[in-house]
Amino acid sequence: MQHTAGTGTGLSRRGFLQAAGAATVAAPVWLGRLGDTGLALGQTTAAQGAAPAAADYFAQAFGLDESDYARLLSEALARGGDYADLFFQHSLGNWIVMEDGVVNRAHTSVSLGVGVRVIRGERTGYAFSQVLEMPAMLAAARAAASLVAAGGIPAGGRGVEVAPPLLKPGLDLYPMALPWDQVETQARMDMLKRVEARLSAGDPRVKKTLLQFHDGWSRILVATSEGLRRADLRPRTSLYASAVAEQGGRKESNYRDVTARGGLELYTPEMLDALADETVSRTVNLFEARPLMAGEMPCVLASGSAGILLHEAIGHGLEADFNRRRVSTYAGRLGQRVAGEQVTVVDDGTIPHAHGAINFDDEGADSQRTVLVEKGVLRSYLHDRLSAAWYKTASTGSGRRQSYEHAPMPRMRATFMENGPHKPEEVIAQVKHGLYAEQFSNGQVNIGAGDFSFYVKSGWAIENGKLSHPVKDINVIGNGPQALSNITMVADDLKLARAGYMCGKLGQTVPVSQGLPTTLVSSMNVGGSHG
Amino acid sequence: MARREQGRARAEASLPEVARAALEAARAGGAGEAAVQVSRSRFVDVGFRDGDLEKASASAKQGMSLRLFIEGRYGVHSTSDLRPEAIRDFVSKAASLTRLLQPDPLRSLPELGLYARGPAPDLGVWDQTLEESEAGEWIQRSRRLEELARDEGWRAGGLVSAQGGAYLETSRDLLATSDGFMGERAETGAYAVAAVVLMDPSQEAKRRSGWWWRAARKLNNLGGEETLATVARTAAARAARQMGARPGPSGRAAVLIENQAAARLLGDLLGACAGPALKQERSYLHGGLGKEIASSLLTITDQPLLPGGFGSRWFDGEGLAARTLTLVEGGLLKSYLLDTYHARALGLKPTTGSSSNVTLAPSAPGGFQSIMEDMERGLAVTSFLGGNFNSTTGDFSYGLQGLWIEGGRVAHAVEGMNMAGNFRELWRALERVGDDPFPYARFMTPSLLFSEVQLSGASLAPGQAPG
Repeated sequence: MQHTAGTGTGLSRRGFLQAAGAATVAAPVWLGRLGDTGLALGQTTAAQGAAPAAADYFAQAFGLDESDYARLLSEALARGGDYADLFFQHSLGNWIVMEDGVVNRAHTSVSLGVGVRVIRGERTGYAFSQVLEMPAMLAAARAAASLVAAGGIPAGGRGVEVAPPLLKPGLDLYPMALPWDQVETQARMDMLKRVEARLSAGDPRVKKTLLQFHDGWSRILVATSEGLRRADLRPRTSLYASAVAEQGGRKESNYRDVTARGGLELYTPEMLDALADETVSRTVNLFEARPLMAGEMPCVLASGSAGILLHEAIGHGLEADFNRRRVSTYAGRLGQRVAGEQVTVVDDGTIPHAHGAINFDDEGADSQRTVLVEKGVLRSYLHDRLSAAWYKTASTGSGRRQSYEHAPMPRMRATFMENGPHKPEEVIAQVKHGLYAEQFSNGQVNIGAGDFSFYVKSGWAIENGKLSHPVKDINVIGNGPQALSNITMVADDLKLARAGYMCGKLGQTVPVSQGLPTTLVSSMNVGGSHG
Repeated sequence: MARREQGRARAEASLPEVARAALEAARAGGAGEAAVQVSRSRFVDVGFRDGDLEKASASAKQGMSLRLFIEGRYGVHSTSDLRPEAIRDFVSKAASLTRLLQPDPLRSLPELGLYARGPAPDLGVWDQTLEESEAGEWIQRSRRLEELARDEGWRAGGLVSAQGGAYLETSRDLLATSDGFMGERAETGAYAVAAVVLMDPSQEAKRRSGWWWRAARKLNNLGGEETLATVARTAAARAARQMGARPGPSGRAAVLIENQAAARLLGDLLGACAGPALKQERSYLHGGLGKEIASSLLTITDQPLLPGGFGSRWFDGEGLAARTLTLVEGGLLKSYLLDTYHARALGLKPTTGSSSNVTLAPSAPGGFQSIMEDMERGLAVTSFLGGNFNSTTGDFSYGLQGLWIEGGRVAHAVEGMNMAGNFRELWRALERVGDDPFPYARFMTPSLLFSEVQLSGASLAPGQAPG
């Protein structure tokens, strides 16, 4: 319910798609994939071509085969259960850090394991093994089986039969022209050097710089007792730049980051330069910042990462696990009006190269575009397998998990609001005295009461319909249903933020995206420092 | 490979064996110095909700983290794959990557004289009973706690959902360095947590959530039925207490932070005392050693050797010997949190790179309740909602939930408020430090009263009385 990490204004969503498409010559390849039916395991999936999502990765690297999966799933269901699944994952990550112009440290990380889940009614038993050898994996399967049996009444019994395997390709949302295992470390360092040179030369007041570059991939295989087999390779990369500037003994710091699922080709020279320039301007602008009055006032949310509003004000509240348990303030409100006509909210797992894109979810369900609120009316929750069964509907492809150590639950992917009819300037012009919120660092929501907050790292004060002076470090707090009904104007400039957000819920963190057109919320509580 | 080994697990290498293999591979990869930390742990995590098991998980975990120093170049590399052949390959790749970096002459292992010396003291953080306890016991504890929480929820009225959770973890980790340090730590810990969600009859569609927990290093201290009942009752009471919550008025007022919530403020303050922030001049406390940074009532001490503490340890992440460290005394900044590298960068002596058990000296008798009763008017904060702190400038703005106090009594529950300002002023406005340190966390913060803080809340409608 809380997320941390960086953000920014982002390219436009349109620009995002174009940039990604141009770089990979793969514009909307996913459209052709939706109609694909499953292929039998063992056949090479020609459709995936060079896409390194081959289902046989775990066979090649760890000697696992179909009989192992079947045996593990049978063991998982041996003490009763409706369903079991295995989630194999092998992840590798690289980080290099440049501090004040010197690449002075690096970090690598390897994580390997398999999670075994057994579902019986609404109960979940879960265990994992970090050793991909049968004795250890069988022990995990037995542990999951015994946990779900011990918690239930009566214990024991046999579960359903394990179905024959069927391999089903996913989308192809993150093809890489230059995959990370073919990129020299020097190329990564060169990118950092380019950004740092421009950053430190960008303004004489810049005193300290810190850059971090990350790339990594995760190989996934989902195998279920219903026979579904799905394999994926999920890349993730980010570049974070930050600076400390000094003026007359006063220091300010700020940052800018970009994140995506893709290869080296995503980092164009233009993008790197813009990243450096924005880091500088965001930092030195803070010297002009003045305190803002505390209290309720109209807030204009800039297009881009201000989608954090939707993430906190309604996104978490529509995750179906919270509604199934009736603990969300949105429980029982499907089909009801929750916002004005101008508000359409979408959670979409299928945007190519987006941080929150998934070719299929962590239960093997199809990724999709889910309309949550249509012209103000609540249309859908976000479902995983468990909640979909409870609501007698289909999964929305929202079952996600941090890693093989965790059972999946309903999560957001890329959450945004559709365009409205207005121009951004018209929206700002409406406000006599208020806040223009531009850069967001983190947010949080209290699901039951619907109260949420987000932290505005930087923005502007609005006076008489114009941006008057920068403001910074302001927490904004509101109530979800109230804030949605207070959305009075929506502009036509939707952007999906390129900045990377990590979303935390019940101890699990997953990458997400968010976007918003310029939007006016007529009143929210602004935590200014001035009375 | 997987199938050939069916039926019989490979013998598991001991922690020292894994560490030696990693250090050997590091030497072979050209590392003049290296340090490795290897850990193995086991956990059981059970949650019941509304009369049934919701989720039970249990597993063993392992991991290794290796710090390499190769010709002045530095890298940290971690893996969960501890097969001997995988370790060799992993270390060799890690060494090649590290070699490509630029040198940083300040990087090295600690000074030999600063390492901890064994034998390991008994810190009261290990319980053989917990080590040997089975998952079934935690399923029973979770089931019972949920029943108690549900009863309390029914009694309070408007029950939406009740949860009871029980968690156990036992772990061993070993730190070994190429210059001969080797130390092992074994720990057990457990907690029981209850959560209750109630409908708020005064506000449409709003639910009030309350939760509470009890943690312990030893099973005896987690207690039995009586303890579980207290946890359940406290969770329900905390939910019921929030009924009808609304913002209090905007303006400057006294703010009391409840003990367990105050850890947030302390964490932000200690972040500004940490090496990485100071080296990059991203700390408003840069250059502040010896200076007054808070009211004279503030004394903060790091106590790694505290018996049974949740942060207790006899050596830190580098192997530095644990010792009591005064961070702030009478409002004066006495020490930073510095590992070997950051101490060198700042020209200071290493202390420790990370805090352990952090305690605050009380300024007067009385905890949350009695300080609240002494408050003329202001806000008692029971939890934060979002917000952030700018370590470079000291600016903060936090979302708040809690209780509005008038004449020492609760006037109404509060939600939807913020407090904002700068740490330079906030900590100088510290007026009282309670004697109620929160015992179930590493940050053992007491309740803190600040005399005057800027709050943003409700705007006053014409004719409406404040409060």
